[in-house]
Amino acid sequence: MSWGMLFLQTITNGLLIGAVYALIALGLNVIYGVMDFINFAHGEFIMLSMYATYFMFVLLGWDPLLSLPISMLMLFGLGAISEIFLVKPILGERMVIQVFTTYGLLLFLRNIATFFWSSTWRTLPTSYSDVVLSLGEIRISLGYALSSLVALIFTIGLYMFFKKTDTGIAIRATSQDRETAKLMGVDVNKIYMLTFGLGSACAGVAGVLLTLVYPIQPEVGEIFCVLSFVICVVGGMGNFMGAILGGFLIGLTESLAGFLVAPAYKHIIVFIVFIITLLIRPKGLMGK
Amino acid sequence: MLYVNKINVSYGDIQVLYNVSFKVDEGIITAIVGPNSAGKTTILRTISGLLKQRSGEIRFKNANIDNLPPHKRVESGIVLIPEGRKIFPALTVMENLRVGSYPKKARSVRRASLDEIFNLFPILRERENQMAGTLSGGEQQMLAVARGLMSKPKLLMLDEPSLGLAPKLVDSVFETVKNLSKTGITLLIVEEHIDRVLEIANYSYLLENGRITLEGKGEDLLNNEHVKETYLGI
Amino acid sequence: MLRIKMLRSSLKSKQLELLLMTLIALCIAPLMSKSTYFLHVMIMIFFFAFANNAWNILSGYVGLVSFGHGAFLGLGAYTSTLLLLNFGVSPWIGMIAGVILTSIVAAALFLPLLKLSGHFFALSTIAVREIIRLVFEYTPYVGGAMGLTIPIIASSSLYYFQFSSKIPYYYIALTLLLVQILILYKMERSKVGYYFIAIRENEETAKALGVDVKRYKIIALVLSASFSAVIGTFYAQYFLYIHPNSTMGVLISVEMLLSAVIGGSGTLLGPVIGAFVLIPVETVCRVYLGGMWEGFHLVIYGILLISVSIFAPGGIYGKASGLLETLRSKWRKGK
Ligand SMILES: Nc1ncnc2c1ncn2[C@@H]1O[C@H](COP(=O)(O)OP(=O)(O)O)[C@@H](O)[C@H]1O
Ligand SMILES: [Mg+2]
Repeated sequence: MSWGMLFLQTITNGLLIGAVYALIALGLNVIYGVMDFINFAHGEFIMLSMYATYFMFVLLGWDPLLSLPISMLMLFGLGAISEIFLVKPILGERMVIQVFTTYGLLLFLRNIATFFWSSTWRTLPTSYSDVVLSLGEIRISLGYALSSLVALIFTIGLYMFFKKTDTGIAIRATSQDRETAKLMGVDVNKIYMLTFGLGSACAGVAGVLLTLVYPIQPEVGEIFCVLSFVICVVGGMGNFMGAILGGFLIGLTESLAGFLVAPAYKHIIVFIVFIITLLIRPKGLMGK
Repeated sequence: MLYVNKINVSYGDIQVLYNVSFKVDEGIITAIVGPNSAGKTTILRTISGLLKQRSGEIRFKNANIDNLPPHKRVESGIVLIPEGRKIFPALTVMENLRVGSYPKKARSVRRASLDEIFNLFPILRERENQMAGTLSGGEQQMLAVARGLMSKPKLLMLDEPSLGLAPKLVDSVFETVKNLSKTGITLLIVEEHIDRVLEIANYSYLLENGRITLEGKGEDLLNNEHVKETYLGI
Repeated sequence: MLRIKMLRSSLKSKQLELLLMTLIALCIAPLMSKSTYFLHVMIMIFFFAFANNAWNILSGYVGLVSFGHGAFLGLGAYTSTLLLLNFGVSPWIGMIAGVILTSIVAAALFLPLLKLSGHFFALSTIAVREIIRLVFEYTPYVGGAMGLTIPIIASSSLYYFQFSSKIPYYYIALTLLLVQILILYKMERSKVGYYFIAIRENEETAKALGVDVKRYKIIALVLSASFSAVIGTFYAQYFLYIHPNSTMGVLISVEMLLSAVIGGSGTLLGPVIGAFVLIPVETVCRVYLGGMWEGFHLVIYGILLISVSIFAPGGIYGKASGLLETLRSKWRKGK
């Protein structure tokens, strides 16, 4: 393959994984935008969804894409429950309290997963994840193609939800001015629960999709969580479009860094991009 | 329709309202006037449920509403158009109106409400898809009123609707308030523009330092020596 | 009035008594118990108390929450170890070199981040820590992902900071901790400590009162990183094996804050109390549950962290002193 083709291949890979990153970051960013709250256990939610998908595949023979609605609903529920019991009591508290509460949840979930499922890496071999499609010289694994396609569909779905439905508009109104939203008859507590559920459902869907391309392990959430922080900051904290733009940008950065520098250094470069963005444009590319 | 009975309200340790009592009768315009910082906004926020009184009682249509959260009070027909308009700047005009009709009952008659409101404020129809934050001050005030009307209020409370508007626009705001009253909506209006609001109000209260110090028909207050001296500068 | 004053001073002297007794107990403990496991647990308590005290300076007092302190500990560990392995330099000198190097790196990499606030600072520390860790992981000269092993040079040598018995480690760790607490005690009562807290409570107000916020943040950062580096050298000499994950990874970084947060961050004794609670929890999990329960203490830590955050934001120390205060005032009223 020529250098040019390899380059194109790299871009393609970056965009494909970028779509999944965008969905993960979207979950985090929607919660931040509406509630001014960062969930440090976001990555652990992804991990739980990966395990749910894995066990439905191994024990029941259900294909990840078929069991997706179940994983998604489970994570929605987990998010909503976490909101009621962990987030509601500390909303509006000092930032450190938010950080440590969700960090406690992270420790709990990550290690309870290790306890039950051990720290061995597991893979979920579907019949199609290893199929490779060829577009000219560019090759795309079907697993990547499907996960990025489904991530894109969910992203668009979420966008339509916020744009077109009354509940979606009420969520946006709440994020702009929560007191006035109350005055308009919006039950802000319910909106918060729903938002946290939705954000977690994004992690749920992303988790399902990641099983197609990534092995499963209790600590797998760490890197995705950190990457989604990076994406949100680069794109713009709390900004819907920012998460999408950031997702693709970081996907691209990662794969270009791997190609141009060395695969081992891809995350170093991503983090350097992150720090630089924080310093020169702390509100992110789309932030106002 | 609305009975406020001896409410005491504080922010933290600082008491702002002292034994405030008044009533709002159905179908008329009631006004609460008073100087800056008297506690007018605090009264309205307490009625709409954003603040809780330390003691005292609020009754609406013969039911105690003290334990209802804000959104339930909206559903029961109490709507506040807050001070400074507080439109949602990053939503379009139409989206603002949709949030206004968020309660289920209001949602079911949304089409009809929209028609009424566009009749009342034709300019909003033209601006339908514009971001609310880009509207002019007068248009934003119209939107704030329109958004409040979308939930089909029985009692509409306005907090300083003329604040920050040019004199000509102030006229039209009070004109609108008078017209709304004619459609049968009960109105509670709070103002620092004492003379203007007393002209249109059927019954008024004077609030000073968190206490109701005077009440009566609009003209009675206008002719009161204390009011004349202190607030009208006559 | 007089009675209250007397009561207070008697309480003070009671506290002093308690403190002295604890100290004596800690000093003679190794003579009472010959169990190396007991000594190991005590050493770990001192180690984590020290490391959490280090974290506490920047994150507890000044309020800049860091998830990156592993990087400082690791830099200290690597500096002294590399000097020892390559040039035979005594780890004690290496410790000083580690403090200097870590301060420089902390200043260079973290300094620009100090202007960030809240979540953003916390997130950025994760990134910086990962950059440093990954660099070590991919640099063969420093041992790469496999890390570095310190060979047994001498069976017991203060110069080489190596002992076959745990007792010297015990006393070294205890001494380090006591010296550190003394320094922090002085700091807390000086204007520096006062400024730290002022910055945490409200940066704008602190600025308006004339506190040079940037300067004091840097002081906190360097102090915090230096103490972390010191305990990093201790880590290397105690375990004789370091690698990027164990000295700079997530786990060590989190363990450097758990005792502080659960014990009571921003207080002098909080991290120490936290270490005395958490390390035994870990020990019980390891020893009595063992096997498949390996790592279960982290589950308990998670629950503790959540509970403390929601129900006792001041940590165990804050809660306990609050309770004590109400009891005291009740008792006073009763008199
Ligand atoms: N959120 C608040 N916290 C503390 N004090 C407040 C708050 N809002 C208003 N106040 C105080 O309450 C008093 C009444 O305020 P307000 O009800 O806004 O008066 P008005 O609307 O008549 O100008 C004022 O002294 C004001 O400073
Ligand atoms: Mg006011």
